[in-house]
Amino acid sequence: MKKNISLKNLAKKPGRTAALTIMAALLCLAVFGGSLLVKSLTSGFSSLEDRLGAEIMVIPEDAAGSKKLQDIVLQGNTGYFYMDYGILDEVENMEGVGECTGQFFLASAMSNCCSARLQIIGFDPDTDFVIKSWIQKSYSKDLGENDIVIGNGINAFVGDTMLFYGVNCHVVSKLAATGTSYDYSVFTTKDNIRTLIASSLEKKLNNFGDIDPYNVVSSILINTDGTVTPDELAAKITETVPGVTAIVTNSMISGISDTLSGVGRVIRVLIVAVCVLAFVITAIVFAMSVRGRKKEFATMRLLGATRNKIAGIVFGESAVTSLIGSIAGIVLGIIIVVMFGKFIEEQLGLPYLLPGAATFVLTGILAAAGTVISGTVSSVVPAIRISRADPQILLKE
Amino acid sequence: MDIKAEGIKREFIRKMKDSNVFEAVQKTDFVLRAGELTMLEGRSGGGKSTFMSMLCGLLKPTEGKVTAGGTDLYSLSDDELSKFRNLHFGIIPQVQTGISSLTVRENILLPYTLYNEELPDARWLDELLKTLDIGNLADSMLSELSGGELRRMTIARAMIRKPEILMADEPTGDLDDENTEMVLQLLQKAARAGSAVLLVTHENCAAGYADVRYTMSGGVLREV
Repeated sequence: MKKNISLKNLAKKPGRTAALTIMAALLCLAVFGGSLLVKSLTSGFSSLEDRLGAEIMVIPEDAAGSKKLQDIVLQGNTGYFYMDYGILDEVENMEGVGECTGQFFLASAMSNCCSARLQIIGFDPDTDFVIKSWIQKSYSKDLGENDIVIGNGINAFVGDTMLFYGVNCHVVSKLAATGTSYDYSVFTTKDNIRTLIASSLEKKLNNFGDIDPYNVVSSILINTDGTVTPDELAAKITETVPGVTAIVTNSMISGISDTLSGVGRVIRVLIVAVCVLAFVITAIVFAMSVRGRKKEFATMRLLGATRNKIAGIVFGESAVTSLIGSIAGIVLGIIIVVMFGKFIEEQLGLPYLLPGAATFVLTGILAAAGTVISGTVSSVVPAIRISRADPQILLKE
Repeated sequence: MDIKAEGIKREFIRKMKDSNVFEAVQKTDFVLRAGELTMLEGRSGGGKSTFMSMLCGLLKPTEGKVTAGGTDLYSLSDDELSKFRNLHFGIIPQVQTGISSLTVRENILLPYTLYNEELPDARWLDELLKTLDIGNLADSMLSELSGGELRRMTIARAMIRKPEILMADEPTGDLDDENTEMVLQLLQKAARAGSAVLLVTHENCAAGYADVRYTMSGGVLREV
């Protein structure tokens, strides 16, 4: 009956109940949605760090100047640039270089010869230490002739054929989502991408009309051997190898890191502000609601309700509204974070990777528990006051 | 069950010209006997409600003790005292109050449902509702009742348990003559059935129903 009285009290005052539920939903949405947003951005950033996978990137000088690399890697834009393949040999033999591999870029064209406008990235299976390891998580065999692996965001499936510059490529695997621009990229071997580059040149759809597709490389990825720092090695490469720029990848993503920590701070401040506001408003609404029912609580005391029972009725009301509100907040949070994830990613310009189901569930449980506890705590003062008050005085008021 | 008050008095802190202590009820002894309807009259502000509150365990006396059936009420914990009041007392407060989210029937049954107890025989509830002439309002909400109907609902609620001690503070204040008579008869019937009944009232006609009469003025209790 105690529970029934709480429920009936809530049903009797739909306006007040709705206000309390909305406050709880807001609080839960702020905690749940905000936490997931921060987690998604952090995961996206970690994923990007992993995907870059090398300490240094060497690219043509003019590509570095026009920020093409950042556009391709960080913004998901399509693009390509080339330098002489001999540079790879030169860099490979420099002191301080540990792992070293070449990457090859090509953007498919918006024309009948291509299925879609996508970034194609080629890697050398013999020397690669970046792409192969995460391709192998979904496809353990070697890529054969014209075999491709596609990013999670591309609208195609394993077994499909995609056309690039008139060459039919077979989708042999689809990667897990990374939350980065790689989700919209196509991966293949050095030999396959050379075929595609040659075909693009034949069709006069390549901006670099005078290159030898079998003697170019787009970027060189390097890990130091530990005897020098990445900064030292990058500076040395830029200085000694003409026409190239060596970029320390950390510096490339430090801007993102700064933005991410700034956005994270703002989100955290907003979460706290919304929580405090929702808590204060809930406490005020509860205090008013209890004050308006003084005589009812006094009557229950006359009839033999204990102080704990009176407080229990008030807590029951706050727990129910908080629970309903937290469910609504979680549903709303999922809709916003999942459905508008792409929009948020575009607006913030940051990599965005939704956490796994376990994190979703755990965050949801914690946010709901926090909301119910907070809602109940907000009713502590009015509950204690009304349960301790003298019923005779309350009846006179 | 008798209620015995031994040397009880009640003071309140109140800012006054000569003193800051207001003696609402002066030191007194009193016995409310089972099977008797005891009437307590007096002018407003005389201390009647304070006195009644002390007798039913709602207001601790500044001095003295109150026992009901040998149990010292104010030696009990809140849980024990609340349960004791629920089991043995029926209280009709001066103010008409109920739980607005419950129906008339649910309000009347509240003394049972507060402790999730088995409900009484439906025939007893029906008889009470019929006697108080609110039988057709059992499923109405309190907001739909008139002042008199609400008053009768509070009387039914106090009597539903057939309590051993029944305390009524101005129970006929807003009733017409016919209903006043009916309520006084009901209280007398309860006393005849063995309850100890305390009736605080201004109604002159109530004297005819009382077995014992007291007056209270300026906090001093006197038997008439």
